Amino acid sequence: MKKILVIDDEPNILLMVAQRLKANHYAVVTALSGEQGLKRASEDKPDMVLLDHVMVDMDGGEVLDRLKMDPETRSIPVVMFTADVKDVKLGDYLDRGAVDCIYKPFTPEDLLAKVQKVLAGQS
Amino acid sequence: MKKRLRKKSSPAKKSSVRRSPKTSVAASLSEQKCQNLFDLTSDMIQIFKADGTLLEMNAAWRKNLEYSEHDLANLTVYNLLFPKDRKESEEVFLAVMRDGKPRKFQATMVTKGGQELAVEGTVSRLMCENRPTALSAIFRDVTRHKHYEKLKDEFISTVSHELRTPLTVIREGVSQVRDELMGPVPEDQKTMLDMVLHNSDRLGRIIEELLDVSKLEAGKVRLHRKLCNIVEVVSEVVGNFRAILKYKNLELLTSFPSNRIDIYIDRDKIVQVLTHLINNSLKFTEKGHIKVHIKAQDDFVECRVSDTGRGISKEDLSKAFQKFSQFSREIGPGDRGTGLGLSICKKLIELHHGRIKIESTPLKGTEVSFLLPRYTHRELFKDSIGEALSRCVEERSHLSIIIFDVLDFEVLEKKLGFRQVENIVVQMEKVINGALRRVADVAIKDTKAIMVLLPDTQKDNAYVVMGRLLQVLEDFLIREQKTPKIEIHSSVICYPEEAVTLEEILDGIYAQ
Repeated sequence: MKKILVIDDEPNILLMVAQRLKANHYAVVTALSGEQGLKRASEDKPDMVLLDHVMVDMDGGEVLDRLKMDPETRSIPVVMFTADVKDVKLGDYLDRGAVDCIYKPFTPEDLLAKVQKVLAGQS
Repeated sequence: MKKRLRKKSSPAKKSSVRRSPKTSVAASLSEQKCQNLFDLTSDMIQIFKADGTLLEMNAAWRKNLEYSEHDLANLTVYNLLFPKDRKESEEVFLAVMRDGKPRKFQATMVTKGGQELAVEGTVSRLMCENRPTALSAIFRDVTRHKHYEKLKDEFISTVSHELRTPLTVIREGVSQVRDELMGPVPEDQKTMLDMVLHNSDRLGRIIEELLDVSKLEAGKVRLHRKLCNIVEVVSEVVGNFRAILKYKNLELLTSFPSNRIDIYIDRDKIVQVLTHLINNSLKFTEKGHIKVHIKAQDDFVECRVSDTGRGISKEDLSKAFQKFSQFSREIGPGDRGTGLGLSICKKLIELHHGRIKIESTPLKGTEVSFLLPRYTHRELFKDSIGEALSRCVEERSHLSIIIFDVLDFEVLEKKLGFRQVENIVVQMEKVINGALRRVADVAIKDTKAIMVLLPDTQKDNAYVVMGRLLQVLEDFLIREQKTPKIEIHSSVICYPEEAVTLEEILDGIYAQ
């Protein structure tokens, strides 16, 4: 079973995403802050990370940079979650090593298709 | 030369001595007029030397910057500027001093009390005895204006985030119950949940449209134009509607040219416009057909969406492109829009320097058509650089332009034929656009050169990008294996280090 780490400081979103992924037979690890997310990433070794781009303690971009700098987590594919205006940051995140973006509000089809695509590319 | 000047100047001198009372009154009035303007205008005026020595300032200047006459001895223009603006302003001042062309400038100044003052204005050169002697700057305080601009930006991004997050939770929560993730749901409740989902999607669309309008009105929408085959773009959009048209029992008619028509457009924005127009036709047409038509003219491409729907009354037609205007509304169920769609379409087409119009006959049908200009490469170069430059000036960021020149173009043309070489340049443009990573970066081709626009990019970084793109281009050319070998010369021109105005940038590019 593939393991996905979801990092978002919005507990409701975290719950929704985790439930949807679990219902589709993924193992899910959650983190409510950037700092916690980094810790989970290096301890739990997930197969991919879903990362919110605006968080209170640490900007999603910073979490992304730190994941990409750490040799232990560098190879884990990261997909950004964003509720921001489309196309503003996407290129920037791709430049910094993210593989894709999911825009909020998303449909379950959106979420699952992207997760599936990323995990398929990885294996 | 000197002699002639002296000769010329002496009669003038005489005439000023022998001025008739009438001319002397006129001169005195004109002098007073200038003095009054200088003293009373609310704009700040400073006369200074290029080394920064202040020569004269008006009352508005003293009032805004809070300096009095005896503070001025130890001050230079550069002391008054916010440290990070000094270098850039100096470049502007020196350029004006050099060629005498007035230039716009923006900077942050610091008042005596330490307050920051955002200013915007024009610098021009003053001559004395035919020699550039000093500079005059006329500018105004735009701090408040900048503050509101910032608030507006923050509003847009806050609204985006704050509305979308709860909407995500609502949509996904309902959708999970509906999908029976928490256990079985009776059919009648499913119907109710479907209704909630449908409406939360509608709310999502309304938020998107409201944000689109605010962004368009705030001038925050930038086009990312690339060369696209408009026939393909339109066919693709039309294709998305085939199923629903069939379901509604409506005929779909198309009239497309058989050849490809490449024009520079922001693909996503044109797709948005077309989707909206076809959706509108779909909403208001119960029977008959929807027709999509493309026609290429010399300077324009025309796209037309027409239907045999219920049409719009003459009265409503005049306000069709106004915000929040909804018409052909009937009491009862049915899909409702926000009344923003057509006004968004109009703004998006106008951003492309195109035109849109609507014609309709009640009960017969409606036709919306828009024209998109077909640019020559040079026009597009100028337009795109101008747009990127004005944004960089406004945001006080850097702009770098990389130029890839195909060397010995004429020799290649002779050996391979114009078509063949042109095709290679087209391919090169595609390869570069595919290798660019940020949305705002774009490559545009001229006959024998490709220009890459990199907004918010400093010179050092531009060289890094250039190195990467050169590698990509070389790989492409090796794959193509053309003989004679195609060689490329690359260079970078940067705002504001090497060129400040659009003309200077264009001169720089064409000098390469």
